[in-house]
Amino acid sequence: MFKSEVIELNMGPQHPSTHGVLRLKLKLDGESIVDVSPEVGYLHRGVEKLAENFTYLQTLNLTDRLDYVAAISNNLGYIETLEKLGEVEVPRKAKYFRTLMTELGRLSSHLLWLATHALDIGAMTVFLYAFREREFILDMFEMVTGGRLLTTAFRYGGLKDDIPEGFERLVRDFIKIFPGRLADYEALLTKNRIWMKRTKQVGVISAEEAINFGLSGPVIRGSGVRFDIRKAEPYEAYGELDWEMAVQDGCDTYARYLVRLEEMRQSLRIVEQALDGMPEGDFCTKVPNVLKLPKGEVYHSIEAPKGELGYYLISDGKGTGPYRLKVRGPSFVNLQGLKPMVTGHLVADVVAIIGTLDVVLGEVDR
Amino acid sequence: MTEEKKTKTPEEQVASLKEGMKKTEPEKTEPEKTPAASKAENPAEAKPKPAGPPKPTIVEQEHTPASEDWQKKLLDALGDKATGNHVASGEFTIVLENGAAFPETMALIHENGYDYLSDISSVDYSKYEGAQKRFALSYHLYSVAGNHRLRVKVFLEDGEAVPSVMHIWATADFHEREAFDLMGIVFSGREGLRRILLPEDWIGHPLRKELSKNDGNAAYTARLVRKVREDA
Repeated sequence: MFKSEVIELNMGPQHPSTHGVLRLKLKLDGESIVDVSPEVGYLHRGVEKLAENFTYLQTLNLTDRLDYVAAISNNLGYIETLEKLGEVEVPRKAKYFRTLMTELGRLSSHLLWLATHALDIGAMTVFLYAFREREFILDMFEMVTGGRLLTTAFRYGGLKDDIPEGFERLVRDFIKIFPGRLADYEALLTKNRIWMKRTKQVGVISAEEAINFGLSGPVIRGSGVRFDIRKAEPYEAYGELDWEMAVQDGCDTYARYLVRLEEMRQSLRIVEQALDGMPEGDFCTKVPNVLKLPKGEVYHSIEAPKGELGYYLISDGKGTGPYRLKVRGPSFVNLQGLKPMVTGHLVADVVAIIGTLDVVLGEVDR
Repeated sequence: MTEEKKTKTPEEQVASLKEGMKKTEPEKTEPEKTPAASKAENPAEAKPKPAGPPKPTIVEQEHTPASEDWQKKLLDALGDKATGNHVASGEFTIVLENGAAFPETMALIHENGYDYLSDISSVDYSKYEGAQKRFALSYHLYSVAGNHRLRVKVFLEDGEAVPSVMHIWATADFHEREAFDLMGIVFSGREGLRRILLPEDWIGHPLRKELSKNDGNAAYTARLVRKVREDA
């Protein structure tokens, strides 16, 4: 009687839940999804090509514009890559301050994720609350770097300036306020029946698949894989501080939600310890005015809020800029997890799954 | 007569350009001297400066042979398939030959615990001194259980295809498409090798060194405008 056929549906690039310009070509059988192919590149600016024309310091500006909601992490990854090739020892004070700032960046990124993820699924209140707390962190960034989103923080060999006066008080206030606010979010969501129905058993991916698809960050830890670069290959001050890796083995959207909430709690612990143990001394080592790196290649990765952020830098030893800079954006790779997660689910679940992957298109398209 | 004149003029132009270049060179050095001369009022600073500028020496990254047990274990497993290996900045690199056996070797590396493919990077070595071939691919691998990192390098000539590793690591899909899109490296034995970041009707591969950062842009826009006008 009735004819059934697979129809194609375009979701995006101007869909509010895609958080940017992501286009999904969905193949639907009724309302369930048979196949999906993400079309990216709408935000491609050629960062890697531009970097070859820039000096090392100028390229730092480009890294701000990769994952623009966690620019601090991008800065750190890039600066550490330069330092690894240049073999420069960074003062302990700079290490602690970098750790502190990066964890604040992670908090701000996770707050933005929580806000938009909850909004996509229909919880408006959390959106407003989370943005209120994010404002605190952006104020701190503004105080230290002068920019709220595009921070261009840190320099080769340490920091640009010493820690500003009054910064500690801001962070102390935040540490006092934030645990209560986090409890508020949990009260709104964690045991909420609608939230659980929308996220449990949605976007399931097994540990083996997650590794095979190269997923990283909270997405892989939500599948029970203990892979966190801060623990595996400690950089900056992470090895000296006391904190735990957040892992859940639910493999679904709910598990990844729990992982990110736990990470926020752990980030706050790191921030507090880094502030308490902030060493005295220099904030930058002596480095040449015009940076030249030895001829060679280096790959360095850090744990950005979205996952493994890697930089592959090649220097020809002559120029004052990169010969080749490849960015391994965690969002770009995590986006590949969309297909195994989405297949078999309904169109409404796609919104939840895009949210749980936490992709930022600036980093996908570069 | 006129034709001869035409053929001569470009040569003359080149000659005049070269002369112009020669002229500009000393001009550049002169302003460098003047600030030095002005600073020469302080006799202590004036002496070390002339020794500094002349030839920039290239400092090379230090390469050491593989020494740790896990590195030797992998090299033993690979045998003579690995044509080179070194450790630089604490990173272990092995070099493989491109060919039909390449996917098998990569599968062998996967069996040795390197189950996580972080990244595939493509490099154009055409303006790099001392490179073996035109292009290279760097596979950045990680062992989640063993916590080791490994870089596998494959050198390629222009137009040489590499067997895909998508059947070993599913994550290779986007990385290979990106290397094809931006660098023009062709991966054989897989489906769906098409552009990913650039529009499908883009001409050229922008990360190649012979192209500037603006190449292809104006031509693409012109094609787009023409198409819109034809459609209207």
